[in-house]
Amino acid sequence: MNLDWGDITAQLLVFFVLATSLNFVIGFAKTLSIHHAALFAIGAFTYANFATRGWSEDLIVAIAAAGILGAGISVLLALGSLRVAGDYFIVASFAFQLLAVSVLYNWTAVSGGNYGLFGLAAPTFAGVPIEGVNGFIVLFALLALITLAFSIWLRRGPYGRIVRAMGESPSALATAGFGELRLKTGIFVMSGVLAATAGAMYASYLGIAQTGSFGVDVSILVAAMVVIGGVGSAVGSLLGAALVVISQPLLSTLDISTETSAALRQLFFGLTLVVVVTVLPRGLVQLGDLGRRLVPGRVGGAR
Amino acid sequence: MTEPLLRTDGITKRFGGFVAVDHVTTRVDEGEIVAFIGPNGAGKTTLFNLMTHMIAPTSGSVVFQGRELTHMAPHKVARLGIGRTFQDVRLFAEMTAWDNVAVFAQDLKTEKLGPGVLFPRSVLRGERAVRRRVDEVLDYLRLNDVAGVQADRLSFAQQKQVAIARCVARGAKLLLLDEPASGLDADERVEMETVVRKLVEDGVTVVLVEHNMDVVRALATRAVFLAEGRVVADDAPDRLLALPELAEIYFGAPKKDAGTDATSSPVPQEVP
Amino acid sequence: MDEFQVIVAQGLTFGALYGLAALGFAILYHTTKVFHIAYGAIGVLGSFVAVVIYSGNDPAKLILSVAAGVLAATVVTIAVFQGPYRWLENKGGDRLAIFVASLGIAYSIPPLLILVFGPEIRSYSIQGLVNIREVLGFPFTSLGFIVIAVSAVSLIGLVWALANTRWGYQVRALASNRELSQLVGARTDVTLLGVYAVGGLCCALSATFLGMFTNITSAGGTGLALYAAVAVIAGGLQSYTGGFFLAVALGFLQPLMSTLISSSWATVGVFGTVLIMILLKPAGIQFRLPKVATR
Repeated sequence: MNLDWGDITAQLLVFFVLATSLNFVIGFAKTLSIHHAALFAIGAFTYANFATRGWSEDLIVAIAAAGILGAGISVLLALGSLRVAGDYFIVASFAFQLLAVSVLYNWTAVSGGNYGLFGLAAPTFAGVPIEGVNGFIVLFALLALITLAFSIWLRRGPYGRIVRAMGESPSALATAGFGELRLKTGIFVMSGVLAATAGAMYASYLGIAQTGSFGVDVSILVAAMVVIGGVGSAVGSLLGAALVVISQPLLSTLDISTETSAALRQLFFGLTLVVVVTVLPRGLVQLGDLGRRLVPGRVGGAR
Repeated sequence: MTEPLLRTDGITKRFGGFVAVDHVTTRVDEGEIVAFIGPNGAGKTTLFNLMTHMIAPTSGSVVFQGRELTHMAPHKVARLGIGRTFQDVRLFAEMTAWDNVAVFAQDLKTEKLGPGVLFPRSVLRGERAVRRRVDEVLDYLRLNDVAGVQADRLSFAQQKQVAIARCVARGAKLLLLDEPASGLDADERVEMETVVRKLVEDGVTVVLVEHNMDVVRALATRAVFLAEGRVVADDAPDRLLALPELAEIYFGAPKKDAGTDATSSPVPQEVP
Repeated sequence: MDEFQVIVAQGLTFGALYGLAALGFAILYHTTKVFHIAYGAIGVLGSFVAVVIYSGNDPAKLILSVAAGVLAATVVTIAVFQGPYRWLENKGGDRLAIFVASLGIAYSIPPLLILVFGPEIRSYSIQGLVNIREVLGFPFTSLGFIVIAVSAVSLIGLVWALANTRWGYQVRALASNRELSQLVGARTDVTLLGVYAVGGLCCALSATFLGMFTNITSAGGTGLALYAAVAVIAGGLQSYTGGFFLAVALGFLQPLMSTLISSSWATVGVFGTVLIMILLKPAGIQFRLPKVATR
């Protein structure tokens, strides 16, 4: 099979970071956000603007800026909607996603409107220019490893312990002196930072940033990655990301139109999501009992 | 009169048309063991929920060590030194007993992400301190054997002990125990009573809701009888339980001599 | 004809449309507590069925096609609620899992429609329906009148049925305490079929009407799902009229914003207002019943 493995690997690493960001939300905060594509977009356009305006091509700078934006937005969303019933948050997330895309389409100075921003210069990282797919793979692998190490550190430490406890019984946790709101806000901030980071990585790699690639369907695809792979599991996020990243080139080897292959891909992931959440709640990871868990988590399951 | 550790001032809770707690004014002094007794639906657990501000009162206030709890979130109330257990225990089911206690032993600052990332050494130091404290608490309550067992695999009595261990780990000054004897057999009850007495000796003030009159008589320095949300009587247990009116409200019939039975049925079987 | 009259006419028209959508979402949400985000997608499925069957200019055929679309949507709604949602509820009722299933279904339907019906954008070419008919200077359309009428009738009919029929009583009982209703032996499954039918009817009709104003694309359900969900969730617990009128208010947002802001940024104004409304609306707190945490 004639697939571009280098490209697949680079994209896999980007989506692994993105999936991990959502994994925090589903696994730790036990809720779902559908605005991750918007955060992804914000990261991408941050890099794109830094590059096209000549402010900096250093990915560290772009990631820092993207991270701050991602964090800020997440704080506002969390504080605004977590105070009230759970479904409010999802609805706010949904509205924010649609709002963000709408803003991006209109704010042509920042997003290039319908066409997007092209020809972004390749990034440097701490002054080192990143060239060729292999350069990106090394860099992204580094970033992915940092992400992984961070999530393991979090999980193993005291923070992970209270977050797990929050998932089991928030009222009992309150009697320990820990409030749910603050913890959840923290989780959303981390998630926002990671998603924006993935966006900066993505734009720097592709060299383009187009609003159309960041719609709510992408949010759902990320959710599919996390759930199908396995909530709470780092290996799960990797598996889910791999599945998504490889599906497109695989389908393009078939003799069908792009519309048909896109439709097939979406149908596949939608159905797989439904099937997994109903019969395989711990995700693909369950099949081989592979990997450590970030948090003993799953979508669904009896208590 | 010295300032009580906890007092409620005319605290009232209405759910729609139903008055669960009706202008209850009461106090708990340091070192006491106060038992709230009364028929089911008398408002005892609601009173607990009001004392920990898990629900907001319709009127009236709760004052702990001179501080009014009225606008305080439950987790902040806990930080003042009020601990509680739940009737349905509410351990963190898929965590070990050790981890359950650790959550209550770890510094309140651990909820902040920043220090956790920026100062890994202090996190490690903190964890060492937590380890010492948890081992100490489990030792105190003789739960070392079950430390590594997942909480939902413990026996009910053990789970209740872990629940108390959690409060001890947090260093609660006032402990609210919601039906500590329910679901325990005679031996387990005695064990629980020993633990409570030990805690009180070590400076904890205890308030409990109980249906088991033996436990009340054995432990409580004072009993408060609640019926229909109101305080009907407040006295030492022996004197209180001898009042004929209470027997009528509680048992709904002339007293019976039924021996000591530890079930937590709505109508207790034993008689003073 | 000034801007005010345009706003009112369009606001009432689309408000009625979203109100209709909100009614269906409301009855499903209040009764089953499921956040059925696939609602919009199923509505679009219904509108696809209708537009594919319909061809030509025969009003009778139009009604039949729409009826077919409604039927398709109802069948799918029933299948989805009795299938994956019911299964997940029986396994422990984790609302997040059910929502994820709903998300998966919402994601699966548009590509399915493309694969089955083809990727072309369709529209109704119905003469006369979108002609402007002025009433006191307000630029309504014939279709607009139909939408307002259907929506108003549906609201009145549903509220009446909920208050005065046995079925309505059972729906309200289910909404306030599901376990109790099932214990008492009320024929909940029959009641629920009615609930699903109302849901299917409302989503298909509102999506079809929307398609008649614009055109029909496989992804057209997103906006409807958002408006219906926001209106119901922010509109107050257990309230059908609250959700309906909030949806009507949402219908006024687009024409209002178009007047205040230049055309393409108007959508930003709409979504921004919706978001602010969600974040600030106290209904979630106000109407929340005083509940002690049970976990």
